[in-house]
Amino acid sequence: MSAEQKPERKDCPKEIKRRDFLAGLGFGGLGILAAQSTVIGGAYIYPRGKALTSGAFQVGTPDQYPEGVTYVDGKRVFIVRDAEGLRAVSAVCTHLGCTVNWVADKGQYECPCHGSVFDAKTGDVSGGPAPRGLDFVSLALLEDGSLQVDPTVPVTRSQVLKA
Amino acid sequence: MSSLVSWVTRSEFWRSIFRHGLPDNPKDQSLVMTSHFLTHIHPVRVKKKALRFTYTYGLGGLSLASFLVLLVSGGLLMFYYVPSVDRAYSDMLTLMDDVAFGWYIRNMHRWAAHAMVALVFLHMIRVFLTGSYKGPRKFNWVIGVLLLVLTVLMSYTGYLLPWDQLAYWGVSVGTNLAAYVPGIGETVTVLLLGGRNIGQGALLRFYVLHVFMLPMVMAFFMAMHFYRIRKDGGISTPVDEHGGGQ
Repeated sequence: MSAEQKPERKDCPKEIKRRDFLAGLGFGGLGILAAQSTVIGGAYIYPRGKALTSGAFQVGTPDQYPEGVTYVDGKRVFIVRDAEGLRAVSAVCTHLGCTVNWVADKGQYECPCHGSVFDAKTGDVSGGPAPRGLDFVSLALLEDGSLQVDPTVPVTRSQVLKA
Repeated sequence: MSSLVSWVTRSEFWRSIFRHGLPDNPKDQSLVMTSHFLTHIHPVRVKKKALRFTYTYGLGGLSLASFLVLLVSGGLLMFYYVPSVDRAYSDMLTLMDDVAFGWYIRNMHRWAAHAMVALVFLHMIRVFLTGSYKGPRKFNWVIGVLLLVLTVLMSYTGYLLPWDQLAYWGVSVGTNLAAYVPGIGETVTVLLLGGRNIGQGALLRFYVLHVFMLPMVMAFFMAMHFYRIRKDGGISTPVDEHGGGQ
């Protein structure tokens, strides 16, 4: 563009060229589109609702569980009864997610994968690579008299079910 | 008969496909290379020492070959496999026991997968030892590293699909490892598994990644990888006695 075609405009403090304006509009639009796609795409593939929270299942009635530790087959949870009542302890190792075993002879939980050891009473780590103790999880008595465990809801050891 | 042949070879249709004469002279011989889709990836002239088999051992080409075997055998497996927790394991058993040559296709897929991981590693070692990662091929090395990561991810996502004990615990340990990444670990694990546990969500996500998402990304980067070989002046060549390799 030659100088004659472009008149000086001193009244306009900062002149934006048409080309720059349109380029800004175009690339700005693409930027918004990209940001929008990232947010929508990310939110779309992130699981929500039932996929994250509905982990509850029933494990029979309280009288099936004698004093001590009982493993619920295939459910990766222990039902523990002591003088205070019933608790549910997750059998998922806090290290890398293997299922821990209750070793009655030694009175402790042991992980077969990398040898983590957990205390029988508190679930605390007493050996191996696990970063924290076994989780106590929600245990409830339903109206029909059956027990319900929800491993997605962690509780503290002080929460005891008297049944 | 010969007039029929010449009628065919002189037709517009024929000449639209074969855009050069019989390659019995230098001009048509180079046209064969430059005008053909599959051979144009080679430069018109190739240095003799670049052809020495023991320089590359054809490892890149073998990686591509195993990828193609995986593509075809994987496509065939998809006819009999449903990624559902109720069916996946029994579908795998059906493939092995009942489907005609199902065991053959599945094992072909399995062994080609193992071979591909090994070949990609060996290819990378060859490129490293011959110094072929240096300029002007630096960017192609970067794409190569990406392709190695994608190859490992393909192996890992395919590992869950038989839905047996090995698969379950392998992926269980793997996703728990991912959870240790500071900050984003938990999110990545939930995203991968489609929940907090390995269940239907995880199987479906791994399946979609394995049969569609990752192969698509891989094909894109492979195309770029091959294009760059050509653009960077073909494969690197050994240094000669005058010190003139490239």
